[in-house]
Amino acid sequence: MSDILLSLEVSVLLFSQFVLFFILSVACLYALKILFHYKKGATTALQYTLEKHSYLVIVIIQVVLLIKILLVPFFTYTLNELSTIVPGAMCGAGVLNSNDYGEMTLFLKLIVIMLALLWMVLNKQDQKVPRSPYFTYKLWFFLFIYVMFLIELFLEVKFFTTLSTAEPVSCCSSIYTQNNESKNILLSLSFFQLLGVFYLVYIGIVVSALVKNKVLLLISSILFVYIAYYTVIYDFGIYIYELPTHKCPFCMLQSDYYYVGYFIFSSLFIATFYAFATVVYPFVKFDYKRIIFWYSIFIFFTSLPFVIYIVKNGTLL
Amino acid sequence: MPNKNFIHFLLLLLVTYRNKHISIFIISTVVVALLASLFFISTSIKKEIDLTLDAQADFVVQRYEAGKALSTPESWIDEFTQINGVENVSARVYGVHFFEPAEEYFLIVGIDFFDEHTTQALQKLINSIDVDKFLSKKNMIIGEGVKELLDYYHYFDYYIFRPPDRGKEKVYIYDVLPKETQIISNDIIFMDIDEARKVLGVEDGYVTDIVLNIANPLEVQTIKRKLIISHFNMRIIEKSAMKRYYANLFNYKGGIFLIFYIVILMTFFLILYQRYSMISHVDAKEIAILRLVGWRINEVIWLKVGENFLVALFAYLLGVILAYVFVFYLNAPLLRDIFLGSQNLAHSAGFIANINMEVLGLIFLLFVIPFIVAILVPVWRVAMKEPVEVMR
Repeated sequence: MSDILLSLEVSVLLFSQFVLFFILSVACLYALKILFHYKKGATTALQYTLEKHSYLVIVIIQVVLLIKILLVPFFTYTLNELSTIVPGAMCGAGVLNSNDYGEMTLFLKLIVIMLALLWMVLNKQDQKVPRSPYFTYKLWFFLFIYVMFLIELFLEVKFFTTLSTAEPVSCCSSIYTQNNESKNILLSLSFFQLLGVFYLVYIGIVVSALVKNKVLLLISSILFVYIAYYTVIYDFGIYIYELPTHKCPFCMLQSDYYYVGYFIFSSLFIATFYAFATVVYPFVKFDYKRIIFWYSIFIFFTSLPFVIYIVKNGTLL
Repeated sequence: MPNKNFIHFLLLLLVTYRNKHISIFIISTVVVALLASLFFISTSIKKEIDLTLDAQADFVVQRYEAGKALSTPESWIDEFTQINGVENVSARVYGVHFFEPAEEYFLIVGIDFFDEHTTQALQKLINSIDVDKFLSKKNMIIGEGVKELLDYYHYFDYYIFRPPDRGKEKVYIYDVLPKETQIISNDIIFMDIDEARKVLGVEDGYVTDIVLNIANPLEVQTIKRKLIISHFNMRIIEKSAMKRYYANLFNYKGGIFLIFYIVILMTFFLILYQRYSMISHVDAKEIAILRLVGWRINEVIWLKVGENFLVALFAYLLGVILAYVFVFYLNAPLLRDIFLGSQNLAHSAGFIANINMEVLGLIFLLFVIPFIVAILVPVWRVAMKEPVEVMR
């Protein structure tokens, strides 16, 4: 146990998570009940009741998804707040990297939201089409999301309880500069090489969207998320902070930088969601305009500080 | 997605059946108001402490032997000045004076008025201070709480201290410290450093502790190491450690309170659950009619969720406004003592209004999320009632 749990933000966060855990468990019980007794095409009274139960599961997931989307920025805000009481941390990155659970927790949070959004697409289609062809699939899918949520909750509790207010942690710049020595290929690239790769993959996405090739789109969008993350930290980040040594994905979420980080990461998230939804589901129309639009919004938000800096100062950092 | 007609219908329902919601609304408002007061007090105190600590020196050095803080030799000041990167080394003389009539403690702080740095800092605190006039006779500047107490015992212009050497020190009241710094300065008395020495019985050549600043924040750790090596019988307190200490202290108080409060919240949501599980005849009929005219179950559920969300939202808004008035206009009677303590001189501190989106979001999450979650299952139960059965 640590005194971190008594900080207002952390206790509110954990309380909300446990409330969600409670209601999701209710949904999980109903989902299991439906899956055990459901027979496709049967016209018994039980079948009819089961379908009514499915409405509860659906509403719970929709509400939980809404709340979870609210909780992610709140989580990052909490990390930034905690940096004042965790020695050595100057922003959320230091707190997040202070033990092994932090990064995984945040990653899983995003995964759960992504899965829940994909679930919503499936559910919408299921309710639109007569005879509900995806009825059992979506319940199994929900159970999978529930398990992911449980892991996330476990990691989050572990993260906050092992977080220490006594041991010093590294600040963001030193964390992301130390990474340089690891064997990551992307980090051995120079500034312009990384930037080149970044725009190349973006063009790859645009092309695969235009030719409507799902496999290409899947590969390029996964690759893009990975590369974009590093490019934002190591290339665009330093122009956001206007400081060549400041490499951090967290500081840009603070008010000092006009919360630009939220725009950057949420646009990337939405773009990736549309790409995945198009690739995964056969019934989703291949709307190449929407995919290209959201990726371009992301490119806009990342490149804006870069362009502004060059226009203002007439030189590179 | 809800369209215009849906929202119109929702509001119409809310206005028509306002009596149904009124009890929940009132209890919710009280719950939110209490919660918001707690958060407002807590953030306001944090802000105040930050403001005060920012003006503090980077390091405080004390002679520390056998677990006790002793008077620190003045000769250390010159030693520390020799270390590169250290600036504004100055001595402090302070201590506690026991005010016998009221059984209260005053904190006496001696100030070196020939030290430019401290004088400037004091000038920031009190605009009107005139150093020459202050030093022309034995003067002191006192906190609001001290002033009240001295007034009560009819020491309107001066107070007579009895130092350990059996003498008498008559010190005049020069000014009272401004209200904004009251959390820390309520029981403080500022006086000239030599005068403080006399009153507190600190020997010549010794001071209570030594404070110093570091010009370059990157050198803090290096200089700390040099200080540690210089003398082994001393204790070094860092500013950042002080900040953490205070943050933890108030987190602790707020956290304990919040954990108890969560129990209350849970009870409230249980009541909410029970309340919505009881389906009135009117409710059932209304939903049956909606179902019969072709609404689907999930649409009915969203209608009901929307209805209750609006109740929660209005309760939240009203509760926050009430809390604002309670904390920042009425100064949070009763609740204040939990945070500030009432052992020593009573604090009449006014809270600095410090409200940001984050705090409001925190309250919103803590209240609205469980509220919505508590009503989901009962609302669904109502919505899935068989319309034909109900109408019969």
